Amino acid sequence: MRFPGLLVILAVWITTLAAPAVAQHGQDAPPPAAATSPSGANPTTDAVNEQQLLQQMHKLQGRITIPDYKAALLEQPQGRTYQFLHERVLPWAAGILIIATILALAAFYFTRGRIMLDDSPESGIKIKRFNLLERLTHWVTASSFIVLAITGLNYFFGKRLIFPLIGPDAFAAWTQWAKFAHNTIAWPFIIGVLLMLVMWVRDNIPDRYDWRWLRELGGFVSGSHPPALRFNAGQKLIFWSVVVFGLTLTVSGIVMLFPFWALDINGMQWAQFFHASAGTVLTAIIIGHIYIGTLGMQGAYDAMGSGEVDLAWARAHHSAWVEQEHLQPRGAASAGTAGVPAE
Amino acid sequence: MGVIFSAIAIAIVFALLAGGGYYLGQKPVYRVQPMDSVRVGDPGDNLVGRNWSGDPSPPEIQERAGSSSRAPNGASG
Repeated sequence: MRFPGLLVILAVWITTLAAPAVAQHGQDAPPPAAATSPSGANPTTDAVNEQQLLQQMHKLQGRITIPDYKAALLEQPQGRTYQFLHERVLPWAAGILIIATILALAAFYFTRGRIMLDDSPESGIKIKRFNLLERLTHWVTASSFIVLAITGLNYFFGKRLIFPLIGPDAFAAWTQWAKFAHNTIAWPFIIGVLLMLVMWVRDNIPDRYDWRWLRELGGFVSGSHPPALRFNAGQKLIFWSVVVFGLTLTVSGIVMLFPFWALDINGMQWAQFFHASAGTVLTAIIIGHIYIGTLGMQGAYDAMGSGEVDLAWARAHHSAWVEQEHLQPRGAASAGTAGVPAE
Repeated sequence: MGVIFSAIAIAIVFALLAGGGYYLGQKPVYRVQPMDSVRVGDPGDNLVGRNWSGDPSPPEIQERAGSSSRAPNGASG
């Protein structure tokens, strides 16, 4: 009789040892009969679990006693989407877009060269193209945007490109000052975009010359400059890009400068996504704009530098504008050609 | 170039005015959302005190540790 007794003790001992191992594998043993309610029903089977709450509410929110209401949000799966976009998609997309823009401009420059005043050497007659307020507004916006673009791109590429080069201490100091500059210089940029919108919207409304200008790619296809009013279709595209993306940056930027006053955590993440996307696209566009205004085209800088351009340049690039604004009022001499695009 | 430098100066002045106002208008979160609770230290301070040098085993701590380790022996003797 001693042998069966030893078997029972051995079985109990093995069961005791095995129980924690089963629990570690995440396979909970079924509850013993004594654990169920007296009615025989399992009280936890009908309870809403975490996964059901997430599926229905798209977030898990609790109640807290501290004033910071954001701390009540326990789980927000959209944050993973934001993290994926912000840390993976956007840096790659921004890097490819900006590098591709620079490479395309370099290829264009080395194949096409600088756009010169081929058929119309300088006449020596200067005409006013932009007044002082327009030029100041342009350069305030431009200089602000350069600072904003550099410090903004630091959010993306700083920790990937600059941090390994200069180390943690210097990178922390640089990034702190970059953030300060970004949040400070944003204000003149906002004012500049709004002023440009007010000053130039009338001249940037699409007109009858734009379709031809686009069809001929500004003269690259036909070999001669298509007529244009004060702004050609390419400049109008730049203008509306600055307005649309600039206002997107403004709204999303103000939302981030005053965090959580208008949006919750998910909204803040979307604001950052739109801000970064608009900033990247506008940076690529402005790189092209800077190229055309400096290296790419003879005489283009003078318009925003001194405010005056040579009459020959104006006739070549904005012939309809010259006819309309500068030749028409003089009366009889050009009365016959009024309204006819000068080629 | 004069108009460019003038514009940069205007941008800097306006940035300092508007941006400075923005930063001066900001308050730390412990002022915006004050609570009736226990504070274990002042903002910027830490739990080991203002004189913490970063040395993980300063002399006074070693002395204290040494005296406390000798105390049980003395008590038993």
